[in-house]
Amino acid sequence: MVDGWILGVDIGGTFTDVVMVNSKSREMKRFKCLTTPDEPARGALEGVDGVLAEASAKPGGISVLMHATTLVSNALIERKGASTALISTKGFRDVLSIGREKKFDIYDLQIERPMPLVPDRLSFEVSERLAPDGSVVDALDEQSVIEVANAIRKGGAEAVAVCLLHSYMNGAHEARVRQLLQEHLGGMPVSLSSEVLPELREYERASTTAANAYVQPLIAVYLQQFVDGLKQRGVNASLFVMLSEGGMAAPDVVRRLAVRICESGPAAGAVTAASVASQRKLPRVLSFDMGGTTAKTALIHDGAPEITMDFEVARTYRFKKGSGLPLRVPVVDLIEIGAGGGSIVRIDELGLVKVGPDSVGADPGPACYGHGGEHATVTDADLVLGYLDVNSFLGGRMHLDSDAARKAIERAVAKPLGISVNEAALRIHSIVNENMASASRVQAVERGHDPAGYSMVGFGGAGPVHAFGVARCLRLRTLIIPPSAGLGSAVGLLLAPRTFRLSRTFIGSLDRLDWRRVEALFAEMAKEATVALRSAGVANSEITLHRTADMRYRGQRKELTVDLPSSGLKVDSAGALRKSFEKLYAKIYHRTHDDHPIEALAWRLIAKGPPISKQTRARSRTVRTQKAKPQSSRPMLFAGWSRPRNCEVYTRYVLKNGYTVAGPAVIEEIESTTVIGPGGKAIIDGVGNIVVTLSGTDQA
Amino acid sequence: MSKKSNSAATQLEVAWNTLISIATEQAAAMVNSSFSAVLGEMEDLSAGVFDASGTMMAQSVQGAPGHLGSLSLGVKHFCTAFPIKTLKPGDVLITNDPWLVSGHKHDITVVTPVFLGKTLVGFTASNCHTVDIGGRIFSAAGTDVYEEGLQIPLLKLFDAGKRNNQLFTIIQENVRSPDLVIGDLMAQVSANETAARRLTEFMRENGLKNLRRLSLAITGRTERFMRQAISAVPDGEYSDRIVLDGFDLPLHIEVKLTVKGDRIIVDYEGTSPQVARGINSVLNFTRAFTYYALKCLLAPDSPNNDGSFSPIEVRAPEGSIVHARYPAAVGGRHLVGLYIPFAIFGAMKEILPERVVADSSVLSAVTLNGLDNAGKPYVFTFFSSGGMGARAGKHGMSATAFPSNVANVPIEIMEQSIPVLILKREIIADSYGHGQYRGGSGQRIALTLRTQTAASVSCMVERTTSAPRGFLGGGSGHAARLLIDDASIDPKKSHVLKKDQVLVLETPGGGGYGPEKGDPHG
Repeated sequence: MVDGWILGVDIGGTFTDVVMVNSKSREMKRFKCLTTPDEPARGALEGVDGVLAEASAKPGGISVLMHATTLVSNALIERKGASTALISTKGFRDVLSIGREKKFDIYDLQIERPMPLVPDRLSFEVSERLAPDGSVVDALDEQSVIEVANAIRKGGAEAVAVCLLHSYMNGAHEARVRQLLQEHLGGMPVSLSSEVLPELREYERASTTAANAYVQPLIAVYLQQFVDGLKQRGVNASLFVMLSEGGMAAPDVVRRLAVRICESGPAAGAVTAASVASQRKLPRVLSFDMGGTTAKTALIHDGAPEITMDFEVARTYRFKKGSGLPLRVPVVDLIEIGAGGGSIVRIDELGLVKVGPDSVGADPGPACYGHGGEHATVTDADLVLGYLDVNSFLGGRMHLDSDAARKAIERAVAKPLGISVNEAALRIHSIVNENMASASRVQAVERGHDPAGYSMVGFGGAGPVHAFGVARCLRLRTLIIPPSAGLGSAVGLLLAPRTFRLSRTFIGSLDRLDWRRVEALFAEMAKEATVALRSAGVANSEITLHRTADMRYRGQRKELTVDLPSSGLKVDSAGALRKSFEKLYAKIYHRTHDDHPIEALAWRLIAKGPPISKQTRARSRTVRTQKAKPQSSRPMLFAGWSRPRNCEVYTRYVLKNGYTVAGPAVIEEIESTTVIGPGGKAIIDGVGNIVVTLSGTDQA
Repeated sequence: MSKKSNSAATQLEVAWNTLISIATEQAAAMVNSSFSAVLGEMEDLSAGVFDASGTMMAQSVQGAPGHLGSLSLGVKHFCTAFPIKTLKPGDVLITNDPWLVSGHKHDITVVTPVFLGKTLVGFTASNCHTVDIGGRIFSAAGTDVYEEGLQIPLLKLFDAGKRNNQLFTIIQENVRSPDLVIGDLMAQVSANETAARRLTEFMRENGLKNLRRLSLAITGRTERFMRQAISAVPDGEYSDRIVLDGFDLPLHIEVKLTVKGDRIIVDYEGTSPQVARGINSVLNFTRAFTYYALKCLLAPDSPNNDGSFSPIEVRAPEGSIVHARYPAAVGGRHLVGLYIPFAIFGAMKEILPERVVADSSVLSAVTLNGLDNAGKPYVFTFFSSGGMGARAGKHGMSATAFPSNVANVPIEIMEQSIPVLILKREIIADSYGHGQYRGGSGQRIALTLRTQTAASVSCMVERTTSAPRGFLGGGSGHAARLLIDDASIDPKKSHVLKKDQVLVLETPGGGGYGPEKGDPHG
């Protein structure tokens, strides 16, 4: 265990959030400052200074610093990465521009596919060819590599991605290409597809490798600036960065595989929800994170976020599946919905109320911010409904303008539809809730789960305001709002386990597999993962390895991930693996196909070390209950009511273990407000969570 | 909707979104539990939610354009064949009759009646391209529909929950890959059921006894919007004639659109008579692509349901390639049907110049069929698209499926699946139509066998003679080519590919838009 302060720094799009916890006293300090997009290290260092001042602590007192950043995804969205070249097998230099040929919207004739990260003039070919089993069809023509190296130099590229056909089976050609490039191009960073993503499907692999090369130089510079700045301040902490899969890695790993921190911040949010799930022993949790521009949901099973390899970044149509660049890296399986506090409300061409997906951003913000925003937004509706207060928003640091909110809603919705402003605000609130509920319902069903049995953990600036309504649409029974819910992601950084995931492709029928090769692949992955975890300060004895395989009935599109024994796979294992696969298959699809051969495609290893900051043993059990006393009251409007009624308002900081609050009511804290609708009953548990029980039949 | 009720769940917006999300869930469940690449990888499918009269209220967000419109038309045939009083909870209905739904036997439609208690309140339906349906391999070379495989009439696949074992056995014994075919069929059955459960749940929660009023509200609004969009188009007659390769001789589609107030009549009078090969389109399929093209032009953003179709009347001469008479061969009906949007865009290009897309490629399919080195038979179809046409203000997209929406197969998946070596897949530079905005480029795929023995190659390649036209002064894209060892081969027939021979497919480039700068004729 570590001594001193443990720091979490989350660089978001607008704000940099810093949370610092003392490993002995458990004392927690928070700081929020503006992100500095031109040089993100500056804002991060300012945040470190700020929280240290807040705690009157010395830089030397920080022992561990954990970090999440949107730098990678922003660079990909705004196209601000390095000028990148791609090297393909001869005949396939157009792999990125051909893609998968499918359109993401069938009716829109004006759509554009995302521009590849590598321009045509920097797409090159070398002569070589591997067969699907990894054997060499044509040897690598080294002269062709040298010619490409010269062209790359002339073309002014700053990074190179190499993706040769079937290199997921044999990386030797790619490795030799790198060697030759480095001989001829000096220290230019080279990303190999056999290292970044050794998996089948050349377009997705090339896209991922190109993205890695594209962001690598940027991340290297940023990390250097951050580390130098910390040193100058006398901070000697070990630094770890949150991976998109929710694990932590050392800077060396991140420099090499930069693309794997793409969803670092949202992953930290899901980790927060996962830790609440473990605390309260909830087997199935829906993580609901709603901020200013978007909402993100993730499924948490048995205390761990679900992970996917199907991810896209930089969508040309922000929320349209298929309109972005595919990144096949392990990522917390998040869906992002264009629904946040700042989402714009308007009447569409069919005369219906539409919320989002575009939003007003931080400046000018919703109409009620009084910064000249003209658009009606979700936050304006929440204010009109009385859920937010003009005086206590952000702990009173920001005064809200209720007249401006009413006027904006009047103009955008009430007047065109001939309804009252109150009615319009209720409609906006319920439509945005239903949109988020629908999206998470589809997310659950697409992954083979019934959303009804889940508990929700709500956080993010707007999350606690809307969680109750969304939970009700989904007919969930339990909602939990953790402490400091408005800073959900930064808190998650402190709780994340140190994990590392690897995979190898090796395809074969269960009854005919070369099991010695499979074991050799696992040994290779274990070695690589152990090195990565040890650099993150995990002792050998603390590392646990979990092995899985992607299996399917032969010919089937979708693989299922099946757990494997921890060692000793051999010919006799086939029967047991078949059984495990069939059990899982029947659970999801209600039947098996008994005589059909089963094949394995990818072999995966998850290496896991403990989190740096162990939570205090969860005293989540509540003591004797008692009804809390409200601090004040104000008129609020809920669905089904003809006019606003006076409802109670509580301050979160005075609510203690066992206190109860009955809805309709709100509980306010600095970074957010928790809404408890009619029929909801809340109780504060032993670690300060607000635990809300929703009754069956009320309306959202 | 009740005016005094504030309850969100009875708001039209919310109800509408819920129905679309049910249909989308249905499609997702189908893809997830699918067995074949055609469902799982290419997503050649559609799903929809219908009211008790067979009116489509919502469809899945993703889907194949030719399927979506056809499904809506097809369910009405089910309603006629199975009057409400003959249906029981647990029934599941099926057909693949090309004339009733989407135009070839490879598409299987499954319709599940939805009951709230004992009352039939609606249907959930899906339509999927199956891997095999017996008869010829997926081909345009059939001479009548009997050659094209098993025909499943309108039947009950499940009767009050009881599996129709005889029908299952007949299907199993007639197809080449029964496991995949039955697996996909069961995926349809369970996806329909999932959607049906969600629909009744939604109705119970909101106290709805039937879907009539909701359906009228949804289709009414959509129809009004479509009518407004049509009204914005000046009245008049707009026509075009488009030439297609045909099977052995060129054919043509004639179209005349009459815009009159808020209605459009689309008439195909003058189109070539049906032919004795499998490229004829049935009326349903023609209607589906007519609706699709007009929706793209007039109302791309509004949700799709039966309301979008009602202001549009389609007339086509019976016995033509766009309204084939039974028992015409129809296996490759998309080789005609996919041209329909371009005939319509061609007719409207002067009046809606900012909305149309110039001619694009037509999906090519090549099916390889042979023995691997261990002597095991294989069969594999790959699809490939060329350039999409240019638009006002934008170049066309290269190698993009349009108007179909079928994805390609990764090179590595294909080489893992069958013993071929792909030599190249590259954009054909300069294959696009020139213009102020240029069309998308086509692509070249070259492959050879990795076996000692030869293989058969069954081809469905279009636009080898009828290159994609440019619009409004734009130039034509390059035509498609199909070659073995540099010699052109018939693009609609089967050929033998021998060891070491190289098969090359070049897909067409899209047409350009507007005269090219510096073009003296522009």
